[in-house]
Amino acid sequence: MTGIAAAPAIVELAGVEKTYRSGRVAFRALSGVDLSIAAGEMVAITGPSGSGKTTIINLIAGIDRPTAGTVTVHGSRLDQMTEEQLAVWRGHTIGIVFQFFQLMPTLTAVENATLPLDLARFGPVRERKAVASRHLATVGLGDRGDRLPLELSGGEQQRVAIARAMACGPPILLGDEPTGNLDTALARDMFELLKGLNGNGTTVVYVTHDQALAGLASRIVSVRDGLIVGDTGR
Amino acid sequence: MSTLNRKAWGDLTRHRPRTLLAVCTLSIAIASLGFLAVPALLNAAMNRQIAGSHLYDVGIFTSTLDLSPAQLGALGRLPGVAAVSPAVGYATTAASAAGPQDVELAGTALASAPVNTVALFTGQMPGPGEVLADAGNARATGFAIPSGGTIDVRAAGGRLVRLRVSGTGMNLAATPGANGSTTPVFYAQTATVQALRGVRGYNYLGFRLTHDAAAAQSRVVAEVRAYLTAQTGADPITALPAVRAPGQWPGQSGFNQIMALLYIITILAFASALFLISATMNTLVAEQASEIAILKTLGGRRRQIAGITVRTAAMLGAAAAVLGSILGIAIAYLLAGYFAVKLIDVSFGFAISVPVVVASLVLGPALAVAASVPALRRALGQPVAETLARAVTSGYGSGWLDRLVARSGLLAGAGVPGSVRMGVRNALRQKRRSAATIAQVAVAAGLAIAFLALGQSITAVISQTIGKLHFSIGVGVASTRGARPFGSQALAVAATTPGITGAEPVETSSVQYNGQTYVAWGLGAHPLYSYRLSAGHWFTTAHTAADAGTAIPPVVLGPALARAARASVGQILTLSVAAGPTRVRVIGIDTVPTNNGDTVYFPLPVLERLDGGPGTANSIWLTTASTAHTAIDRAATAAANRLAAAGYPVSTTEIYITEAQITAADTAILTIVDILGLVVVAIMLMGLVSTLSMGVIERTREVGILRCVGARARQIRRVFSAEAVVLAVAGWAFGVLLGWLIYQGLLTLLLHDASISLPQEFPPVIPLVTLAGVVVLTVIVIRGPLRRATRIEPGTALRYQ
Ligand SMILES: Nc1ncnc2c1ncn2[C@@H]1O[C@H](COP(=O)(O)OP(=O)(O)O)[C@@H](O)[C@H]1O
Ligand SMILES: [Mg+2]
Repeated sequence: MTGIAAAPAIVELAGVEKTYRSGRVAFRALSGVDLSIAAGEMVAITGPSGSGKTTIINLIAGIDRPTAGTVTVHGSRLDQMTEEQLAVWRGHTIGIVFQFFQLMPTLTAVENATLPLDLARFGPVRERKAVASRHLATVGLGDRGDRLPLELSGGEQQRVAIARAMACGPPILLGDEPTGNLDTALARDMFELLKGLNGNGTTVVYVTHDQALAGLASRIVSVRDGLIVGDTGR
Repeated sequence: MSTLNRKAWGDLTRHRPRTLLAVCTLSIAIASLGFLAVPALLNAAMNRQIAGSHLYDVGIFTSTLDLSPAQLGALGRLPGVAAVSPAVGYATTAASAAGPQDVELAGTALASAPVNTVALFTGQMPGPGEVLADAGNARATGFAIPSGGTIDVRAAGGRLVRLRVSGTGMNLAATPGANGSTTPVFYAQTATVQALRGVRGYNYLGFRLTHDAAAAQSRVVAEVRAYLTAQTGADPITALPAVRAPGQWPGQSGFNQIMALLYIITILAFASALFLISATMNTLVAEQASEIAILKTLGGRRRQIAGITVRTAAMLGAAAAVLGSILGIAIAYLLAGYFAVKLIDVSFGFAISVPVVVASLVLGPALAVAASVPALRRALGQPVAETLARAVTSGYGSGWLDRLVARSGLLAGAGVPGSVRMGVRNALRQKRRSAATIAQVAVAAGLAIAFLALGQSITAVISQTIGKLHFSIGVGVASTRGARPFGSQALAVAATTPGITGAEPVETSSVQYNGQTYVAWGLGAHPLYSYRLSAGHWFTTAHTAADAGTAIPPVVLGPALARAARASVGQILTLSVAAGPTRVRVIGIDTVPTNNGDTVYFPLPVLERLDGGPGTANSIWLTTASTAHTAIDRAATAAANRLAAAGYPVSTTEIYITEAQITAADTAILTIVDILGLVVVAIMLMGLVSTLSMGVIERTREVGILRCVGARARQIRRVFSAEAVVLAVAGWAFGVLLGWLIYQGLLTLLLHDASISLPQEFPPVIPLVTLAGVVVLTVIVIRGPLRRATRIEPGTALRYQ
């Protein structure tokens, strides 16, 4: 474990604050977060509901911007990039899996898994579908490629979401309660998939409520009231 | 119940842009009802105008009669006559910078005439040596002379007399535009016109009747004919009497044609708006599905829940009704005023059609509520648990069509960008809304296609009619005293004019059949008119020989008359001419729609005999060496001068000018129609924007995810523009079919209501031009929603509920 920690940081949050404003009410979701994750780590983020876990994931993904502090991911200063630059950057660098799967309802499983390849214009046009099909086979859905999301079970939908996250072979994979909507057995299967990806060198950061699932990670970061209150990797 | 009211209000204010969009759409639909008020407003105004100007019920054209006050008094006391007013008309030319200009002068008692009173618009009534210009001169004839200006009019002796224009005014019976004439009209005191004509007396009698009905009208004509024949020793009635059906006014037939088009547009605009309203209400209610489910879990009864939606819809409808009625009143006022000026050269004040306004105010809330009922029933019928669970994912994939499209491999090829594929399939997600959008585009494209085709038909008919006339100049006998009909001497003078290559004598007058007036042309065996017969044959030289002695003369009928009379070759018809009824035999039926197809062709000598005697042609058709307009103008002036010098005062008509005038008149009508069509297009564009905006709003979360997986702004735009273009092109495709149907309907309508027969013109370029227009407009109007889509921030979007 200490060996991995010596590797260069792929995610670097320094002095990050995040305040949400809705109307006249301002809510401070993060108040001074420093977090460094090395390439190849598998990190679990835990904490009570509303503590700021999603906010951290979104900042790493460049989906949200910090109110103060710097976010450096895979060598890019996200807080200094435009929305458009971030989108392109995400396409190559980040794979995300959400709690509610968030598949495109009008696209079939294999089309959903191909989507990031099309968006990033990744590889030759004719081979993209084959790449996506391979990813679907990896998550055990080789025979369900032509189903629409509505025709798939929750577990199957989440596997498509993982295949989609894997599409461009991103160096970082993020999960925001990726198994929150699955039963325990399915959640275990899912984590085997994530562990496999991590074994191949992908940095994996995920949020979970489940202590058992958090224990599968090499490092656990605990968040409470917008602050990091515990970190097994430090 | 106050919380329920509060919720209804809250539902409206929550999505302000969308509520505004819905209100605007609904108000445009309501406003289009304003079109319906136009005929009523115009009729009321015209009836006021008719009452004010004491418009004739019967107008009788006579040879010059020097009637004494006692004789006029006797005419006024004939049974059935309420009032009589004599006038003297004088058709001559005026010198103008552009050469001689045909003008008509009317000598009447002006403001004090009990029939055909001349109304003063600007300036003063004319004194001796003065004239009042008709207010319609400028638009209908292009010959406008300002108050204080002068015109030099040729008097009977040939000398030019300078007259001062004292102002503008109008008499509905004479005004050129409404009466379909292009000759400017000037009013003067009777003595002024009599002096110009060089003779005392009148040649027109206008009557108002005590009881205006068709039978009374012909009785009065007979009484007047009998009285005048007894007084003068001969029948002085020179042309068919003009009778005005009760409630009719000059220019009404042209107006009715436009009204027919207007009604079609109103219906289509309203239908299109209905689609939009129901789609809008459907979305508003569908969005409430989860809230309706929650209300149910809280113990809300169906009636209470429905009440909230109905209230929301009624509020929306009421707002739209007020806005739409105001808009509709403005539209009706502007349109009625525009038509009045364009068609009749009359302007009048502001008025409101109360029934239409009341209907508009009631229809607003009623339509909005009615449009929301189907969606509401659906929402209320949904099981609670299912609705609450569905709040997260969209319903795409639940229908066979969705699965078919997804599986069929349609657009699944590697070459199609995922963004386009998504956009196309998104169009299938809100099927009702997409269908409504397609319907609106179809209506708009269909209207455009139908009217473009109609324009083509009108252009074609102009070339088909004018193109059949193979002469450049028409010469007519001036209506001056001593003007003689054209005999062989006049023909020779005209034919030998420099620049003129040929001259053909023609008799033109009118006949009546079955109470309708038709144009009569007396032509030779080989006329400068190329007929195209569908049955029978043209006159032979035997028919057109001067001494042709057939007991029943032969005629060829124009297409509209042939249709109206259900005539076939060999049939005997009874026509009324100035002298009385006469029997004719149909020997041929023409297909060329000259004079709208309302023409009877006679052998020249026959019509001459019916109109007064042999060798009395009242027109000459001239061909010219050159087709250049300046050469034609020069030849026309030269011929007129030579004929006048030889004792034949004439007026001339250049065919190229007539063609330009007809084209301009038709273009004006089409322009009006096009402007109205814009309302339908506006509704369509509103529908497209609304559909796409709602799509963007509903898919905020999806846009956020797309951004998460690396979509650029351009790719997001492509998803939505693909959807819009698919809807627009699908709408256009239906629109081609609809357009063809509307076009056929218009042709049938014009044939039935106005006896106008137009050729079928539906070249493929029309749908293609429309497609280009639809796509370009679509691409332009979706910019707003697209910008909105690309501005969505992924962080906010993913938390959007
Ligand atoms: N867009 C927002 N506007 C206002 N408050 C927000 C917004 N997003 C999140 N929050 C608040 O920030 C806090 C942290 O949110 P989040 O990171 O989603 O927590 P977690 O994922 O740990 O449950 C919560 O209290 C939440 O209500
Ligand atoms: Mg969270």
